[in-house]
Amino acid sequence: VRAWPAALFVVACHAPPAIVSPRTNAPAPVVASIAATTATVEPKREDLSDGDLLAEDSRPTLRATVEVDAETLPIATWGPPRKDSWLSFFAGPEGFPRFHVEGVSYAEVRTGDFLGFTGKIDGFASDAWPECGPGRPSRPATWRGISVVDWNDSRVTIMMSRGVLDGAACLATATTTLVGRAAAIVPRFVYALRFDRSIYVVMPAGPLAVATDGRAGHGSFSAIVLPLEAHHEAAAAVRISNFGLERWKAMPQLSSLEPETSADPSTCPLATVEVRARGDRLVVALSVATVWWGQDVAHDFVAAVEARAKHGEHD
Amino acid sequence: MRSGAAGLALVAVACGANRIPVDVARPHASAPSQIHSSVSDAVPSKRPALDHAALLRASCDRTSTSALPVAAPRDGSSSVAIAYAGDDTLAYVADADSRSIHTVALSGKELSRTELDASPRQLVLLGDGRVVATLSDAASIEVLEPSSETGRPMTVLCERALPAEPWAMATDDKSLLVTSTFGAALSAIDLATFATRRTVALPRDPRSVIIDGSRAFVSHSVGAKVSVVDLATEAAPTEIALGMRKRVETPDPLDKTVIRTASHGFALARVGRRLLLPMTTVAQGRFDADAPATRSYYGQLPDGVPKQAPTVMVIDGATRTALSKDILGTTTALYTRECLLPRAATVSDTTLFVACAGIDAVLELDASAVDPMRAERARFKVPSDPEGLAVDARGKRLVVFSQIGGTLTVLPIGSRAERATTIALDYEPTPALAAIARGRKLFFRTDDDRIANDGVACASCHIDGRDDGITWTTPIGPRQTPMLVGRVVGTAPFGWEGDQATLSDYIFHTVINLGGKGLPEGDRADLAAYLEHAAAPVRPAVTPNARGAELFASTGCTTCHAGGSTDGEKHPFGTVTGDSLSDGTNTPTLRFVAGTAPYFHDGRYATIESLLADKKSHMGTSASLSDADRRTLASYLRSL
Repeated sequence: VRAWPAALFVVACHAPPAIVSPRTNAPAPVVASIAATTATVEPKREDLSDGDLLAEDSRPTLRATVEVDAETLPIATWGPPRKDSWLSFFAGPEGFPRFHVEGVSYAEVRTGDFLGFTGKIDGFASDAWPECGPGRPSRPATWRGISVVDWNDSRVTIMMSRGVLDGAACLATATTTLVGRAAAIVPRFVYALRFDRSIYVVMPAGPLAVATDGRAGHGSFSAIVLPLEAHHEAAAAVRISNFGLERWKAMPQLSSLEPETSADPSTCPLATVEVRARGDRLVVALSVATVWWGQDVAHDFVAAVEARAKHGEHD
Repeated sequence: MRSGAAGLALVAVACGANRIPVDVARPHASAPSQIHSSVSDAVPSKRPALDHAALLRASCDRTSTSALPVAAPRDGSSSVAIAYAGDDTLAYVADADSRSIHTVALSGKELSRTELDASPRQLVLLGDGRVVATLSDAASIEVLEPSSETGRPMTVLCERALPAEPWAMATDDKSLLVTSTFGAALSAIDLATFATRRTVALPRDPRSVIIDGSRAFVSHSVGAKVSVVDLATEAAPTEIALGMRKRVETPDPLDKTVIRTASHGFALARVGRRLLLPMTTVAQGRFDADAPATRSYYGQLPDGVPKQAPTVMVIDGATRTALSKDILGTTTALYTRECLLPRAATVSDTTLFVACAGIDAVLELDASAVDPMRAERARFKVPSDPEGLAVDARGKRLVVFSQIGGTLTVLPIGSRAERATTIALDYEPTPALAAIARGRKLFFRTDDDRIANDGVACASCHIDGRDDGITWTTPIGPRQTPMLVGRVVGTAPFGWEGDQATLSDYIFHTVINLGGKGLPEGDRADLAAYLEHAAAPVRPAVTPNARGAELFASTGCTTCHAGGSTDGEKHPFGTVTGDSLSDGTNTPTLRFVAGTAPYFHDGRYATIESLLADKKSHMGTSASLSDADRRTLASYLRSL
């Protein structure tokens, strides 16, 4: 996914969402947590004795893990289509392709091999833009993401729509819509809900998002889908950058931020979302790991995960 | 079983090759392998002579009634085992280099050293305090009784013969299970009599074993699989495949279907029903006709996930399914800091510890993670070649045995405030082993950018100097990894192309192909010396297969493989698309061919039988033999 410099248009969802969720006002309860802190000073390898901690050049070191029982996460189901939810592709000024999502403040769009994210100033899209015009075939499309209405530390509203992108008009209207409130796994930073025997997780973005047998993408935010199936484990990893975190903090206000120029993935905290099998039960785990030379990157996020792991609640 | 040096002369005649001098042949090994086991031959002068013929018949019962140290519970075996003697915590250490078992008080003192005349590989402690050791270069196990007097060595109670290269063990109330690596078998031994109750043939290179209820799970250092043996029935073993897909941020559509294989399955650990296998996942490259010609040697170019990447495979023991199916590419790999040669594993609560040769480190991982290798809590520096791990649950300590140099490192578990301690053992490697120490260390380095630009070591593909069973893509066509130890003396030229006159030359070019900066002549000579003198598998003596030898000659095998060796020439064979060997393949030696599947330079034959049966293989007239004769010939080949 690459940054796409042209402006995109976002319209907030104004209608009150239909909530289908057993838990809407509290973060997901933590069922287990592991807080692991290690020395973060830079030792010199040649000065180390046998048995000493090797912190200077290792893989990212696990800082903390929060686990929640998958059953405790809110669940949302598909319902009638929202008429104000639609997607269109069009040619913008200077011929740059653009897309627009109506009904969701910050959306990820998938159709065919195309993956794009809306943002306030900049957008993000893969190269596989759908071909539109007379005689072009229609194709399924999904747009989903975050509505800023009613967004607080413990919950955020998620809207998803499915439809068919008309190949001639390059316009898709929803054929079904899902609206739900995702609960915070890490208050303010990581939210999740269940749908279609899967979990949908939203969190800050950075230079990478990758999933095992689910889907992951990153743009204005990171979005992950992982299956929730018995005896089946899955994982996704997200690198969170300073800019991605600042954008995340500004999103509830629909504030504008300039595009990020670059972020070295290896310095960014590595957040891992996992569906872990515990016998016949499934838990959702959120871990964060850092390297010593990236201690200052996305520090607030790391601190929030550590606090959640340590205290079971947001500090 | 150990019948003296007569076999040496026999082999020298049979092979007719120039070999390194051998002072004392392993007396109970089959003839050809004796010649290659030179480093195992020096016998410490103070070692007491053991009557192995008597020990094979002896009872394994205890000889005294005094209380012995009590074993700390653990799954499987390792080269270090913990026992408690009152308030003292002891570690028994199988030191293969010194052919000894050390008894060490973790307070910091070695109490005794029990010298053996073979290399103890791993240990298990029985409920009554007896110690069982696998002797990998003697095709046997020995049962020992620790002395109740501090400072006295153990007494060898008995010995039992097993298929070649006994390695790891596991016990339950009634049985002792033993894997045999080169023998490709799992033996079930009755703990009451120490008689072998059942021998189960397994795929090649079984290593670690764990008992889970009525089943045994066995890891393999070659072949990306775990074997499952039903202990309650005589059912044939089943396999759990450990292939993996690569997942990166924006995968090339062509790469989505790439299934990676895996190797280096030396260790097994368990947390609840989760079985944990530290391994190396490998992208060997694609062979289909639509794949673009590769530009790199030995596998795919790194594209989000290095071609060799560490992982911990997870298996649900209850359902016997692999939970690990994908590996995530998360950032540029720190190539020289990866655990590509995992050698041991153990658990404490939900923490998985993995000992990594090549980088000489122990990793502390979250065993609950989907891929624990990607959930690293800490790593610790340890002395060279860590290959044994044990948890002292009472003292909340992890004990690490580093083979080269013979050192124990005692690490506090869960406390960063306490300092680690090290205990130097009475390490006395055989002179021959000491002579190749530099090359041995170099062979296993995964952090030397002179050898490769992606952290790969010589030992990555040549596992313990042998092979990984993998056929790799290269710019000149598919090439399978050849076994090296026991096969490089008198077999020049080298390489499937036969284009390198000396081992040093071959190493020079291989290092370049790996993207390494290059090794100076001295280092290449050290590596060559290691390969020429390192221990090859030692096998039990077998009954001479006269009919097989006759067929070997009559079908024309001896034309190129006289004495089972090589004529040093190239011969034209059919090639596959993109293969540069149009002018012929360098004849490989057939030494240890039983343990080197698949076969042919491009790995086209999975078994010896399939090679012999194919008229296109150009293997003399073997394809025209009757099935029975072909089986006899195959059996003969396996004895080489």
